[in-house]
Amino acid sequence: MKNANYKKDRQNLTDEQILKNKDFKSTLEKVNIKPNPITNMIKTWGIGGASVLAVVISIYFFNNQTENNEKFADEQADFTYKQNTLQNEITAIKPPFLDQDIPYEIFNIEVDKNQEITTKSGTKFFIPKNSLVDVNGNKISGTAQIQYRELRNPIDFFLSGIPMTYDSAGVVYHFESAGMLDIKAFQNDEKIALADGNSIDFQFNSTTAENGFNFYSLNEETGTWTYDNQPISIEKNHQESKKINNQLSIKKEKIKKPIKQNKQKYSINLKVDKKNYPELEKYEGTIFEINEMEEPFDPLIYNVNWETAEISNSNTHGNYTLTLSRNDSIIKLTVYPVIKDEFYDKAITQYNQDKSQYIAKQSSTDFDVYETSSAPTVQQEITFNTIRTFSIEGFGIYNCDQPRYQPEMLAKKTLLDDNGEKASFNNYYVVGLKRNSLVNLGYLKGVRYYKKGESIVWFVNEKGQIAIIEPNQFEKINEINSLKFRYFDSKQGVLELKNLLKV
Amino acid sequence: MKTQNSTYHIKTDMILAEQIEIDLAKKDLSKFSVLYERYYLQIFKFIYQRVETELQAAEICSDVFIKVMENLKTYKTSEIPFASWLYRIARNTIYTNYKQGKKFRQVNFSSNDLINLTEETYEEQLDKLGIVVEALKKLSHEETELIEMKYFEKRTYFEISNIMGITENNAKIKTFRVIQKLKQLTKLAL
Repeated sequence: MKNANYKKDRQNLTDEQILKNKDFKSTLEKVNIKPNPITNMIKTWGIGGASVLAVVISIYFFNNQTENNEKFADEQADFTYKQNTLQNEITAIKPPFLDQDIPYEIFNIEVDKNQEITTKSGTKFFIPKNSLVDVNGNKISGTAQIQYRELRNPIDFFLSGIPMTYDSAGVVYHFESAGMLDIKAFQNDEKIALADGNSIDFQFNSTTAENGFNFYSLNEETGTWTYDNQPISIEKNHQESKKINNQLSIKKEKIKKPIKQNKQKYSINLKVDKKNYPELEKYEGTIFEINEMEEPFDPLIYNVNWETAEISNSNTHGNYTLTLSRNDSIIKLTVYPVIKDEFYDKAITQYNQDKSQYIAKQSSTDFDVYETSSAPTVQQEITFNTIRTFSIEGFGIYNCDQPRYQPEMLAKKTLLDDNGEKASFNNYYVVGLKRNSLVNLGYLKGVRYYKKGESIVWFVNEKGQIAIIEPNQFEKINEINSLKFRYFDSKQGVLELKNLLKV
Repeated sequence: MKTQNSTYHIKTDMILAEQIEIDLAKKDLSKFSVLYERYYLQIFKFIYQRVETELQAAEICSDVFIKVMENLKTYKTSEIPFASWLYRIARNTIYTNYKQGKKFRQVNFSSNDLINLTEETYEEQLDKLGIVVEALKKLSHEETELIEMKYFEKRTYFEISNIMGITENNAKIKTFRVIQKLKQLTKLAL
């Protein structure tokens, strides 16, 4: 280690000597709780004060409004990046290609009427009448332009240039997102703001039905995200859920061989609502074993009194997501069902009987798989109709996220282009196909990638070209000496990435 | 929820009591004094082990607790034990100071620690301590941290994994690799 001393047998301090340095009062006086970035945002716009984000409990809020003027996009998203008005202020947001920045939808509204706006994605938000003010804090009249965009997948995150890292007490995490939004307001090309005491209520069409996502707001000047401690209510669209349930009811069940409990692994025995998961009720003595391949398991979880436990399908085969929650925290575990020792023989007997019956009925022999031909459609519809309900008290950028560690694997390989030429880059992007996140890392001695599932890794060079590493190389990383990549111009590169990421 | 096969036994009542203290401190930072009193000594020692002087340790320790209080609202019991969270912040603060050249980094060890490490790396001789120290100097910051925690502070892999934010297995593997590297370095020095 450079610039370090190596000292043998230094005299230790006694506890008394150490405790002389203790001074809680003085330490407390130096604590500086950072102000809410929304406050900063509004201050930047010349308006004093801001209040705390509120959470909307009822998802029927919009139906109860009496003066709604529902708005849809007035113009197709052809917004060009407003360098003149924004570039000087938004220092932390740097789209890699200005001509491919994620466009805004534009809504022209009359400010003296309540406005319910429905966006292309199905998200709704409500702006109360007479709630907008100019930079001096004076209420405005007439019309205003609302600019709105959603960043829903890794390509959106990439093209928007919005930072996706989160620093929690010096530890840097990378956000996995359930959907991000960016909302601005203008009158005559001048920024306007939300007046004190007003809020914009959202029914946000989330990209995932999973729990565990927190709510963060971005300080656009510094690029730092601030965690908002309020819970966000999550609801599924009633009509669509019914449709999904109908589809689930015709789901063809196949047979999975029961797995015996491994006593060397952590397991959890609890009652969960299994009505949508008949496979979990099939065998007596079914418990859940923790899949530590997905995330390391912290046994302290056993010692917390959880209020609710819900089970849902996981993205990975044979696994489920167990969501444990209490009023101040939510955690998710990847689990799979196993059979307790004492019930295993009975389970196997039942399995063999079911298998014989199944063979008699079906010509198919694909055992050990739970699949249906309609499964992807069902998954897609569940995802599409998850509504997260929250309120914001200032225009800006907000994100439903959960912080994750960087990809665990590091490939220290030479980078070679099509012509076999070596290359190096300042930084690179990584996306795991199982996660809705974009990880941007500085390039040092290699590239990071995910151990499980496919990773897509790319660079952007000084010429604005995108260099994409051929993804299948990570599967045989130990057999190769170099990582090959291909250059694309920015548009082709984005198309290629969209194709690889299936977005 | 029933615990099965848990390797680590931590008293539930202690965790719950501390959780209440943390919740109270989140609402009123003056209530953090209880936690400050409880953890000051061990965090100070952790820092002092990695710096030159008592004054430097006191300054960093103060910074650590300021950071902890400033970020207390983001802390979740379910994600990481509170003590481990403190150690992580201390570790990051030490590293930041070192990287920015604000405080000199010092690796402190006793003769006995060094003998133990030498036995791991240097199969026969105990008179080659100087070579091991020279090999230590060639380790990266993270590699040095692993040696410090495992051999100089005698921490368990579970503790190391929590402080470094890696899995227990990964801590074992990484430490094993550092020892292998030290062996190589000491062989080269012969």
